[in-house]
Amino acid sequence: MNVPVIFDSEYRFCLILWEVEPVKSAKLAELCKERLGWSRTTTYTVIKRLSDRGVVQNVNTIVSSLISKEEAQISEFEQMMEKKFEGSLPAFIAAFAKSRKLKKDEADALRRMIESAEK
Amino acid sequence: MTFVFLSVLRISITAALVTSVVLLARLLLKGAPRWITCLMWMVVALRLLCPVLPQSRLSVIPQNTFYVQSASLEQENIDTALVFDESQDREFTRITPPVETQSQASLGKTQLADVVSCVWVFGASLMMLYGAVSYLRARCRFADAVLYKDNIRMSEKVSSPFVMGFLKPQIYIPFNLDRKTRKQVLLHEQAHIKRLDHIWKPMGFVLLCVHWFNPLLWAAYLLFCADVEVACDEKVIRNYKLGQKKSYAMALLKCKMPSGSRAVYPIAFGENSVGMRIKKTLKYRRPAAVIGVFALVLIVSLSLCLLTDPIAAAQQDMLKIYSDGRVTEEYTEYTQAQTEPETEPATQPVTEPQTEEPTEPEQYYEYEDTYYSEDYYTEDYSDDYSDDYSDDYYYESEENKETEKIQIEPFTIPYESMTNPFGEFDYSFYDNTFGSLYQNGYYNNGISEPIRWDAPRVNIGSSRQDEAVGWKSAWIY
Repeated sequence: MNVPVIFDSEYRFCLILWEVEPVKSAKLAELCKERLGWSRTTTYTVIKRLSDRGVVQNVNTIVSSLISKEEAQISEFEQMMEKKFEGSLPAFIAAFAKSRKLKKDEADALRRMIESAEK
Repeated sequence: MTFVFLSVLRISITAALVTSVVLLARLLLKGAPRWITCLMWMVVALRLLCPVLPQSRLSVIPQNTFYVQSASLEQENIDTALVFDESQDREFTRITPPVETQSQASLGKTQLADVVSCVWVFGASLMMLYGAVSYLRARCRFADAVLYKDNIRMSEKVSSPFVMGFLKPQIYIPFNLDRKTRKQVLLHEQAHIKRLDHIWKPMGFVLLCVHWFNPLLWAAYLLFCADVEVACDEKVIRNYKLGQKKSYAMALLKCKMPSGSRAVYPIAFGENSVGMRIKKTLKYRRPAAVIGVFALVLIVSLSLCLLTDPIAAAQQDMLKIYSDGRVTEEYTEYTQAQTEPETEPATQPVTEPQTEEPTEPEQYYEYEDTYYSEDYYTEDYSDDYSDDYSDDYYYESEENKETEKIQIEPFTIPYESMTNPFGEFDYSFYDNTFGSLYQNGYYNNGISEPIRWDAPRVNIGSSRQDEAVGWKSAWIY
């Protein structure tokens, strides 16, 4: 699936939306003001912008997302892989493991995920 | 508008002088902490903000600057000067002289002054518009920056950190800064906010808009911006050890902080060189306390010299000219060539105005007694009138007694007395800006009959000497 671009600050907005959707736009504006420091108009502008791009939809002032958090994350991950690791998963994992120590259960989970992906 | 422009021009010239002094001082103070130079730029700003400043003997501002425009204005004055209107008997009225009495050259000059001031207004508004539009655009652009904490916002559109906003300044930083860099960046930006740079810089820009035609002030603004950055760096690394300084220098390099941290985001005039700032950071040594004291002394003395006007000599010159019918030092040469030698009285040394207390301007409302001066009638002033009409008029008014002639001591009325507690004064004041006198006046103290007088307007350096003498008398209607 071709996921449209979501910029960093929009992504912060989406994080809130995914948490509370479906939500009234007024309520969303309130939340954004509290957590992102956005004015009401900014929130509406962003909703409009994202719905034009097909990320969210606004039906009768009820806002909901068209793209799930996972889809967005996968798309973001793929972009990063391409950009920074030349599409090489081992290079990525190596960098990841170097940047922070993996706990035992995390490593196990990873191993299991890799095994399942092989099939 | 021309009037405003000419006053701005006068201020600009004075400020250019101050700027040159500051530039010189800045060169001498190369090793000193930069907040000192920032303070010196404040001196320039104050000079630009205040058209009239307290007078002091220490002032190094040459008095000539007050007269810079008098020559060009002379032509303009002809326009509005009061001339004797023969059609209306015994009345001086404010009329515009018919075009044929005006030489083509003077007409051209007046028009030129108008055109130039139009260009000035156009340029200034263009720059202010640019500033306002870019500010609003930045506001829109960074509206969706998300709150990080307190007054710190993050946006992917930020390439280098900056501060925006006046009352509630916000720090804008990019998303992808590592923790170390972010810490240094935030320290730098918070130093900006503490120093109120987000206010000083736009203020400087507004001043620059008004004085956009002055290259020295452009240099002043650009150097001020550079100095602000370095001063901020110095504020942050004041107590740093070498290791910390290195990490600060790295932060500078990483996020190109130099180009950022502009108080008004869009107003960027080239990058301050990163290299210079990094070098400065690594070389920085905490200045000794003595330097602070020295700087304070320097700033105070600079302000005393640069932020004061020369003692009212300008006004006193005026007084001398008109009370004696002769002029003081500065213009002696000029007028001597035109006045007859026997009318030159031998009294009043020319240097006196410098040391003399300024004469009280209060005399003007004591007109009832003191203005009827006897010696006006006994003394023969006819020599002084080089125009025919003056004599005619004098005798006519004597005969008719319809109007009474009184003598008014030459005076200067400060602007504030335009609404004085004793009554209203209309349009009779010494115009400090151009060194000209506006004398057609209307005085009403609310008790006795209002006095109205008209006399030709005079300006220093004018070849129209007759006007100066004519001013000695006034007519009550």
